[in-house]
Amino acid sequence: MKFGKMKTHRRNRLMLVAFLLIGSGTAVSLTLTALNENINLFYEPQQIVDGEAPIGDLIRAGGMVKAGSVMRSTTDLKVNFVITDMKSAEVNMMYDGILPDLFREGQGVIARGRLDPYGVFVAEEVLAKHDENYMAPELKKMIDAKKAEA
Amino acid sequence: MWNWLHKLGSPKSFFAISERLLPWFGTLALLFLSVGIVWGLLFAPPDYQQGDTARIMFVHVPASILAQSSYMMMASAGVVFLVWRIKLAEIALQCAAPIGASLTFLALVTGSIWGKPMWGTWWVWDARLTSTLVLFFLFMGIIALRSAMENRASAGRATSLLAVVGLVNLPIIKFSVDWWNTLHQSSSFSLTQKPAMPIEMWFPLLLMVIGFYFFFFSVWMMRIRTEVLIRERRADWVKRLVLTMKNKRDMKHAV
Amino acid sequence: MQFDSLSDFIQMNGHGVYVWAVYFLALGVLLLNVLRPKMMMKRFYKEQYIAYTLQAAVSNEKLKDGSGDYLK
Repeated sequence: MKFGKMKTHRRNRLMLVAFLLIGSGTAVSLTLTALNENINLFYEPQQIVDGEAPIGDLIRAGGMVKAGSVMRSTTDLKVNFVITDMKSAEVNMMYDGILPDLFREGQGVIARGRLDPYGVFVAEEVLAKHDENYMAPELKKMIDAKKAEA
Repeated sequence: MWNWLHKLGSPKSFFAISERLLPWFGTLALLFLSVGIVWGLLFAPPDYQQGDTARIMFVHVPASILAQSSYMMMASAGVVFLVWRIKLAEIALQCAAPIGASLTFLALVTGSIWGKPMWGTWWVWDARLTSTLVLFFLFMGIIALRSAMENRASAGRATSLLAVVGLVNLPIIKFSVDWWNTLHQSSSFSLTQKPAMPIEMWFPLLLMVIGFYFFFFSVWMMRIRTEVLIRERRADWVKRLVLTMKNKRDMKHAV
Repeated sequence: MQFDSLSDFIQMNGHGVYVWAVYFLALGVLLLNVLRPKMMMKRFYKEQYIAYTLQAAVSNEKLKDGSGDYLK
């Protein structure tokens, strides 16, 4: 594309389109930056530990279910577990209801509920967050077997 | 190159060129899609976590990719129309909108059907899902704007402008899963990076994506061809074409 | 082949409803995208054929006695 040879009115229109795109892009990115916190669907464990999450309000918390932390009641659907960011932060969760199929230790969850004053998250709804990795069941078994050997 | 593009830009030669391309595109679309579907449903392994629900991926991922791609192509046609005022570009823009809307709808609904058993919810207002819904409204907005305006020239300009402004949404959809916390997982399918799935899943998915591309180009061409005829109906070549197609068998061939 | 029987294939380990709903919906959306332009094309040929022959008739008429202008 030779801009030098382009007719002036076409070049002007092209500039106009470019400015339009840059202008709307800037406006939208400024808005999104301003709204950044509100666009996040959930609070991470570290944010909750740091006290960034409001207490008593309906919020969402997300993290990995800590291995070995799931304790189910034998009489009803109540379940306690811990979510972690796989580093240091951990949040205790309480839930009374049916868990989704993908709820497993070591898998991600996003819970909607309220943080009580003692830092325990009382969930009203628990959603499972899948990661982007897919694996065939046989392969998974092989990997687990190798890990067990080592 | 420029000559060839100019030729493609004229409605009459587009009609002639697309007539030769269309059977190829249609056949390839059918081929890729049918092999991909059979492979995805019958031979691809289930996922170790999601089981057979992972097969929804073979529809959901290509539909989502094409929803975004078709917007990109539609907006490019809008830029060409705004700058060079090529009539065919405006026709291409109008014709891409309903196809793009239907593919975005498919991506949204299949995602929802997948989300219910796996996540535990049909819908969540996270950044990925919401920005895809915005994409759907952009397509619908272009359709609505076109039908609301009487004057063809100003409708063309208005819809092109809307399409170009809406381009801002595409990087938001793509990077939403990286920029913010979302329920939606990040991308698993990529041509440039090592895929996050076994080759037995990745390959049928690739076939489906290619098939969806051929499908999109086929139906896009079909719509543009009809629109070209309608707008050029006073031209001699259209008149001749119609009059030679008077019996029904010929008509079937023409379509 | 991942399934041992047809009923296994339909049930998909209990997730059949979701998987099949997705595939049939996709089939419907794709089919509509093909049929709609085909239908529009067919209608164009039909209507335009009538319009052209009518036009031709009118202009023939006009050649003979100069009437038919009002139809244009």
